[in-house]
Amino acid sequence: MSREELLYDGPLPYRLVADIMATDAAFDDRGGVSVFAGQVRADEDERGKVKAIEYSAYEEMAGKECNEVVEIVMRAFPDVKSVRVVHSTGVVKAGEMALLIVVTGGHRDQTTRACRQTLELLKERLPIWKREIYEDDTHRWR
Amino acid sequence: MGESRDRIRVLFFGIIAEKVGAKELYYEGVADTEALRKRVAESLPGLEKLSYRISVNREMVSETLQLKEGDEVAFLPPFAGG
Repeated sequence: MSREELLYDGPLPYRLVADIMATDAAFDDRGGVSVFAGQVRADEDERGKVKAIEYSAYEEMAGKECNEVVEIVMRAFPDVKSVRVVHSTGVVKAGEMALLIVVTGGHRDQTTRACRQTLELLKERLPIWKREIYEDDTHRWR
Repeated sequence: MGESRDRIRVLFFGIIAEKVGAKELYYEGVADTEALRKRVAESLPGLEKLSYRISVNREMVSETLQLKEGDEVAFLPPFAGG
């Protein structure tokens, strides 16, 4: 997966879900499509409310790591036909989408499990960082 | 053995980039990753208190590795994607 395919500057538009499905799911051997969308949550703590998250990435390494994650998942779940990942960089406001995983496969069991495993491996391996921005414009690294 | 004159490209991310005040620096005279850690710590007191890992040429390393001209080393705070 290239940097252009994986990383998207700003919040992910909802049409991406439809675009990826139109490309990856429109085959007669795909019985299941599993989608995970990660959104920015307006968490609240003693400092106030989070209004946005700014994501930064080690872009060259992120593409390589993502490819390895996809390879691992596709080896573990042979019924899976495609795994797509898109992650935001830059500022994403609360309520907006920052991560999209779309997995297509023959049947629901492997497709849903593969989607979950992709998410967990990405959280472990993608060199991406987030800076939570509070309503008073102070920030905190997570 | 003399000091290495090789130039090493060093990338910083997340909270480490903020504290160093740079996303990218070049270092000379560092023979390996351990020597590099020490050199970076000289300009960033408190580095040892931060949690981070190191990659060399985009591969994570857990042991001390020799560095050579053209290597790209990155200081990576805990990942937080998703």
